[in-house]
Amino acid sequence: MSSCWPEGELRAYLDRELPPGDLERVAAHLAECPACRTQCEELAGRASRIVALMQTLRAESAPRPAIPVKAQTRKYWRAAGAAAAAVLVASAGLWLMVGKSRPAQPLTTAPRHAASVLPAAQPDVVSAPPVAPAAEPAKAPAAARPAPKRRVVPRPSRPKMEYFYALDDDPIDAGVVVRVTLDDHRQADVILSSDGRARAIRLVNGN
Amino acid sequence: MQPAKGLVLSPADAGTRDEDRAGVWIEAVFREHYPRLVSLLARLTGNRSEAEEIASDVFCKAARRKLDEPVAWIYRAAMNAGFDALRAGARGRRRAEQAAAETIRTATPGDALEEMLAEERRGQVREVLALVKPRDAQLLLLRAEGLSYRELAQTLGLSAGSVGTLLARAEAEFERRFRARFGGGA
Repeated sequence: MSSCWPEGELRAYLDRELPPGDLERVAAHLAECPACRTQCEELAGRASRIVALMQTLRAESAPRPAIPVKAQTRKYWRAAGAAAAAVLVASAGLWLMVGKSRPAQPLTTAPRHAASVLPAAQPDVVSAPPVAPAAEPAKAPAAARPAPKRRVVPRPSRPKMEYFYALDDDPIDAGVVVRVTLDDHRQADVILSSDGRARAIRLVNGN
Repeated sequence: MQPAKGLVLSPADAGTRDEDRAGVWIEAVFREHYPRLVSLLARLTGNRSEAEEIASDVFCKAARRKLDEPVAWIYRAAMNAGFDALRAGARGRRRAEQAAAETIRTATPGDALEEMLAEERRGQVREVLALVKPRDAQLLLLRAEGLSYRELAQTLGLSAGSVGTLLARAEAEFERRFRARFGGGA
């Protein structure tokens, strides 16, 4: 029987952090040494308990309620053009750098299918000044309608909703919405999925 | 606050070439490590804005020094500052109470209870982290962040071959202290 391995090597073996040759040698030794097997089990159990405890600290950074998200189709996104893509790249980098200029706690979405959710009651949008209805008749479709009527019936209680532009066709089950500040002081919201990919973007009201 | 800009040498500071180079290396280190350092400190202190403050402060200090192992120094200094903040106990208790009150206002009753228990557990973990050796606490936190042994060694200024041993000891020590203080729940 091969000689027993020190605790540190067994610990590294559990994390697959030994050189390949050593990984095999430890595995072969464990097959024939109950004492080292027992020690490995102890180390593994403790390691997973400790990681679980450390993970409790991670949970605290995202205790806020879900933000509903509606993702647009890829077609819509293409229409937004390459400029928006550049904005996104800038945002993704900036998100790591912005410090206190973004909200202290990112808002986390609970698992849900993005396409089925309406953009109701988004706190960040509600807090922004609603766009004045008078500005809208400038748009082509509005010009066809009787403009005076629109002025008579203003709708200040309904803030303008900005939809997110989906950056790919995959459904967004869960993600973190981060507010980023761009170089020119405009702000945008980016949805990052758990793997860190940017999945959707919208510019914040008024830009 | 714009921590990135605080670290770029302004024209007034950038007198010599040496200082220029210092600005370059600190910026590279900043880019690579600032987000991770903030998230680490946020876990340690439970307060993200405090974490950002500490991290920026440490980077500013590092920028003004000649350091042999800047990354290891930055992590060490940040962790020490984080533990100092953590040990400022009164602040921590006040924060916990605020967090609990906030939870009760915003969550359903079941969630509130769960969140209070989780907050209690987080407090326990932080308390024990403050008891073990700083290097052990760093190892445990960074390992839980998913750093490889090689990254751990580089970040903490250890030899790569010793990480397994140090990690196993740190885990054993943490668990021993946790159980001594809070019973078998670890």
